[in-house]
Amino acid sequence: MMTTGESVRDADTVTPPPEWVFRAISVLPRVGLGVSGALLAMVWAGGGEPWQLGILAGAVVGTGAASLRVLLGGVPRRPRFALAMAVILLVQLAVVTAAGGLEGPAILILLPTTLFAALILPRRRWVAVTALAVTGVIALAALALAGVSFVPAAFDIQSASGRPLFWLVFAWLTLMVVVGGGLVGQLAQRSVARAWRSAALAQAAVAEGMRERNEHLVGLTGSIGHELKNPLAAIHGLSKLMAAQAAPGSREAKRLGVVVEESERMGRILAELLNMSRPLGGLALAPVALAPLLEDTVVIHEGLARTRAVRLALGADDPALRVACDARKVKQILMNLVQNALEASPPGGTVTLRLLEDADAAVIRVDDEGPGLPLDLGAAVFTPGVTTKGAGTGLGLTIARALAEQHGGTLTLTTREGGGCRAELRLPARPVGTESAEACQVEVPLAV
Amino acid sequence: MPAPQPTTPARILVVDDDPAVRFTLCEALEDAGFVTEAASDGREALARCLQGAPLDLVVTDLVMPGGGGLALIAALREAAPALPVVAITAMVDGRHTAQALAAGARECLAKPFEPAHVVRAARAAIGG
Repeated sequence: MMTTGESVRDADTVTPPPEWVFRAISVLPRVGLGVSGALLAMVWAGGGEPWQLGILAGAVVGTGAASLRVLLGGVPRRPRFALAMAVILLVQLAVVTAAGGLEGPAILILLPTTLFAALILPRRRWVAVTALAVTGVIALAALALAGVSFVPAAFDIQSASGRPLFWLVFAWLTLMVVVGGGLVGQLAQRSVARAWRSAALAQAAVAEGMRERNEHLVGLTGSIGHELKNPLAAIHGLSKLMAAQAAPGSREAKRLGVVVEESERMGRILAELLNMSRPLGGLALAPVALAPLLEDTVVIHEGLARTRAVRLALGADDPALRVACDARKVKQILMNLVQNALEASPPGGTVTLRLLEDADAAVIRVDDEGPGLPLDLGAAVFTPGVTTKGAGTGLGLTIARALAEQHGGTLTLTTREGGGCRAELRLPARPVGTESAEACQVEVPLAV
Repeated sequence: MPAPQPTTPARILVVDDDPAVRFTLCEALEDAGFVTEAASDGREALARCLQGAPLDLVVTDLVMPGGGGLALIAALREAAPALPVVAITAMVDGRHTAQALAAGARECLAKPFEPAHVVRAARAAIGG
């Protein structure tokens, strides 16, 4: 079941055992020497059988040799644990047998070895070693059941002299197992605690690294955005000047028209990118009546609604509803939501803005009759760069949600029953999150 | 500072560290009939403002290595209080705009700018 080759691979593939394993291993041979030496003396004094004396003497020699090896050469840094455990178990089973099997006092010495094997061996090898111990115990039990008794006279509880010695040895070995097992448990616990601590530290370091990297990337995005403004200003300005001088309707005018339009598009993308990479400005909180804000938004979008043949409807539970918020930012959110709704609406559709009052929040809903959210998009609509529009930058909703969360509120997008999309902005009656006001003080000086 | 004569075109100093932006601003203003000169930082611009042919307007970027636009505006307010300044900035957070206006700029435009807006701002500043 266990070849040498496998044992070598065992030591190679398993992570190096913790230090306490080596400390325990360096002590084990001496403990074994003490136990087998004491048993040999007792069995010999009690007139044991030659085979019993032979086994115990062999155990003394073996454990003595192992003790010397450890004392002189230390514990090998890459021990073949499984093989060593198997050999130790075999020696122990022999010692137990020599001391009278299940009728003798030594059966408990198997316990530390099996416990130790469970702690340090990989599962398959532990199963093999445990199977060896179980087989040995079953064999001894079978012998006892068959009536074969080979307990040495020294430990025979039927005799007047054997009885106290049996209990004495039994108690002594039990104490050793209890104390030794406890020590091993403590050592293992300490090493587990150490492992936990270092894992937690490593995780914190990784998280910190990612946060810094993210900050760096956001800062870099902002810097690049700023750096692009100058070349864009030149391209846009010069193409505009050239377009103004080109003969109307000429090919040159058309070409320049495209350059102008595209540079304008770049400008919009750049503005949104900078909007996103800039730390959110502080909140200027004031009690704001929300219904007029919704009306403003509707008025601003009437032109776009007309060109798309979409109706804009507005309703409010309580037209006087006020919450503490930053009116400019809430309006920015609403503009984004209404524009999205209009762009998603089919001609003849209706975009409905509704102001509701909830237990502890003001709720603004923007419903459209468009196709709703693509199923595969889900929460990704709030991820930077995700868009369903042909010419979208995918930043609008990202920013809108960030603004909502800055107010301590939420922004969700769902597909309504019967189709269409519902955007729901919830603003708490008592907003939180004003700490980002300090974040906006940070600024990277740029030569622009 | 003499008022600009209708017959002589107004003279504008364009200050920007970016040569392409400088060129674009000059082109836009010259297309509109102004005469332009260019400087690449605040120090150079201030030196030009204090000697040479009288200027009617300074159009300046705000953040430049070697003498920024805010310092230039402040210095001009002392040295040539009648010379109007129009600022242009790439910063979008509004703080630079506010600082430029507080320092004495007539107007503050955002980059990337519309040539027409620059011309309109220049006319307004010179006329006012």
